[in-house]
Amino acid sequence: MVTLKKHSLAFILLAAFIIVPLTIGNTTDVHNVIIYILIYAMVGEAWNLITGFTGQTSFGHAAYFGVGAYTSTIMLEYFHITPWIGMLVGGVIAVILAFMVNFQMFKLKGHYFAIATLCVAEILKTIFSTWKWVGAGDGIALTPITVLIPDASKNAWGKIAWLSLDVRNRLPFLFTTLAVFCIVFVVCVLLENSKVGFYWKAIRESHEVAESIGINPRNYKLLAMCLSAFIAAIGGTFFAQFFKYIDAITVFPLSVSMIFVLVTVLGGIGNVYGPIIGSVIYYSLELIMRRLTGASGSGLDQIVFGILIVLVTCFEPRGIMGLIDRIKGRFVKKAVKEGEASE
Amino acid sequence: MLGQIVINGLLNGFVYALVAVGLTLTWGVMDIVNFAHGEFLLWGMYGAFWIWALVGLDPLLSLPLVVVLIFILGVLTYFLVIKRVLNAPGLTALLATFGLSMVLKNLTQFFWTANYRNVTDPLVSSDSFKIGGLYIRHDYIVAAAGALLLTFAVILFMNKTKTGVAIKATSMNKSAAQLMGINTNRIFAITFGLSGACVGAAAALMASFTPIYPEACALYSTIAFVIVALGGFGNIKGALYAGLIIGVAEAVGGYFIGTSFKYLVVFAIYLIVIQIKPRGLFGW
Repeated sequence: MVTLKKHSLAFILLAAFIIVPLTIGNTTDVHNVIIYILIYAMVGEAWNLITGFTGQTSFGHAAYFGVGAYTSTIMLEYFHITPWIGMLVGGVIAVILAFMVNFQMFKLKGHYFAIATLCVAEILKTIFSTWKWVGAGDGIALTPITVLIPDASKNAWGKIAWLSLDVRNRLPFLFTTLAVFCIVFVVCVLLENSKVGFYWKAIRESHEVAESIGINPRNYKLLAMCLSAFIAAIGGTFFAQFFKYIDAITVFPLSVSMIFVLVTVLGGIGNVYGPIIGSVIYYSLELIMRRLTGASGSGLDQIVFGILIVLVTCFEPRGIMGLIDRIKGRFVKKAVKEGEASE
Repeated sequence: MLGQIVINGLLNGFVYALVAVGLTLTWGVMDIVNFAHGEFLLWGMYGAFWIWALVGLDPLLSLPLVVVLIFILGVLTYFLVIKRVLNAPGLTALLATFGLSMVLKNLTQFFWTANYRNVTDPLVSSDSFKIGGLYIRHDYIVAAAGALLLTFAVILFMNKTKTGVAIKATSMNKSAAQLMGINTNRIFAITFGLSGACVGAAAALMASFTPIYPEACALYSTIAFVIVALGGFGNIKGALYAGLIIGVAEAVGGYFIGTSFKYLVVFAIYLIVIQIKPRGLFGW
């Protein structure tokens, strides 16, 4: 009962995500938007682990996102392995990459670390855009499952193996993504309240103090980064499966890394609800702007979003969740005052 | 052949350096990494372009005007945004400037579409002259010379004028500077404006041979970060040397490994150097 009350927002959101696509938002347009919301919120949760909880600014999460997208896609296209396995392999590769890259890099502090993460993603972008085996500059367009494996949908095993990761039917894909997002969300909530989560926050608040009470900052930072990379890679797999086309420019650039950062910051950095709230706002805004102006490309949604980010950082660094807390706090204060007055 | 590549890289490096000097000023004095730096450059280039298109004044001649315009943009940015995030944690300030960069970049797309624009028939042509077997393009050498001159002007300003010394004092110890009667708020505003002025000048120098479109400067700000970090934050001479190193490394790397890898070389250099000297090549 206590958990129910504490996480009532989560259940409201979950209900909304199930009801909206079935009722008022039962159009392809809205389904697309909701799928994007979930994918980016998933990676936003990943980014939140390392930056929101542990305090190490990463501007290069597109690296892990892209590695996940490429790994699962290549396994599907070249070896005909289901993306369900592909996403796990992609996750493992992303973890290995994160470990190798950050093993040394965690001795850097502040801006120097942030720029180093950015460099890693840019280097991967260059490598993947010139690597012939993964399609170089042309990228990879995903072949429909029915063409790739003609009898995939005939036998029961095939049906399960490809379950819902073929996007001809959007609703099953949407609910699969939602289910995976829920798992990620629960994991993040559990992590936040675990001993590890408190260690991370200790490191965020003060590196030196954390060290002095016997926490090895580098190990815990590495743990956060590796978990984060794994989740980001899974997000990348869903993106590739949904978008049906990947190349280095769509998955690796700084602008993609920054989407994860910005949706989380808008929603509330260091808060498990941040990414999902921010993502909902970002993509709703995009949808509204697209419907208002008729076509994308004017950049108007980006302008509005940029202004939102500036406002949030200037006036409420804890994002929309911070704003909600503040409003709630005001009501509570009022209630307390009234209670005192009546006594 | 290699000499030719080095000289082209070097000429490019001078312009990089000027852009980086602007960035290193705000980084060193206020500990603010300005993600909108590339967009300042972009607005400078559009400014130079429109002055040329509407009035017919060549970018090289409209340089002072562009410098003033971007100086004002910088000061405005400081008072509207940066001032409010100065005392917030590093990430907050960084994201504020990133939000600003989104606004500035997409405004150019909103107003002037994503089309490429070029200054045709510039004052200094793209012809080359030859010295000892090396071809040097007129417009490149003018841009490089201008950038070097202005970099020295900034160094001179920082060391010889009262305001410059006040900026340096503020960067060393803000509260001590305040106690000495320095209006740090004003100093910060000037620093941001000066940072804008540097990119404004770089923009005017580049405008006559660079295509101008909303994404034109995206890479410049990333490279400027690398240069500033290599040079050590707040170190203007460091930024100059690092700019030259990066310019040459990019050109030579591009020649030996392939043009598509030239930025890979830049980022790889950063990752390696930062391992050995975590505060940059010329850092304290």
